[in-house]
Amino acid sequence: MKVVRVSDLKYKSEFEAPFYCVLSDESNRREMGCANLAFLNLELLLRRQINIKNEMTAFDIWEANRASLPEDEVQAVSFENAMNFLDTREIFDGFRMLVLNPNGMVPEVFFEIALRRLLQGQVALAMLEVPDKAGDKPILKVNHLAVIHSEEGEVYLDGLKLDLETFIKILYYSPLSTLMFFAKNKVGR
Amino acid sequence: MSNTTKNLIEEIFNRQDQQDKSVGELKHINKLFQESEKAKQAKEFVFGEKLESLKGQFSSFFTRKPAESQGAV
Repeated sequence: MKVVRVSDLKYKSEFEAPFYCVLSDESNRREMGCANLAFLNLELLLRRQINIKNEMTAFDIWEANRASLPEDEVQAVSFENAMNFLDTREIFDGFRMLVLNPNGMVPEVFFEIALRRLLQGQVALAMLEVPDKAGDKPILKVNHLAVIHSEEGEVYLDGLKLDLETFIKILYYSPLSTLMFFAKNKVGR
Repeated sequence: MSNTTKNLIEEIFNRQDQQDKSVGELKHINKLFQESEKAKQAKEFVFGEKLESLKGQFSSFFTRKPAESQGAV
């Protein structure tokens, strides 16, 4: 679980994604909304897969993302603008996307696909509903984005190590929960 | 105490601190999400035997059964 400060993002070798939380340098308040953080983590993890080597730090990517978002949404990005962002960013052209809603599938098929893809190293963008308070019932509104990926047999939600029970509880909490898997396009196909 | 030993001890304490925070956050998430009927059904399937070969490729932390995780998470 990596909690970093904004200035830490400038040192890419020391602070590799995914980040669980990015704090302001001025105080302890969170600097990023969930979608901003998810898109930063997503892009950094996908860059690793397609082996993009350039001088962009996590901070540069974050700044570029901020610049492409409406000014009043720098802290908290709406779901619609988040999808628009995904639609227009060039890096995602290099990936095939598979969208799965666990609630709309029998568990056998969902888990076989999802776990297999995580084992293959694919990264998933999770579109979720998170309750305001513990025990609240879902109100059927997606209000959270996060990145799920796997490394060395562990599964992480924005860098927080998950167990399977928690993974299931999160995914099946709301009927709207959706996973979008990104698989690298194969050359020449 | 040499600098190397000091750095090693600091690293171990930092790692322990990070682990404690991660476990705390995971506990918080577990309390936050009410378990749906669909989640209960999915758990029955997932913790059954059908996905054994797939689950065997993940760590024991990820795949442990709910009863095993109650004390630790």
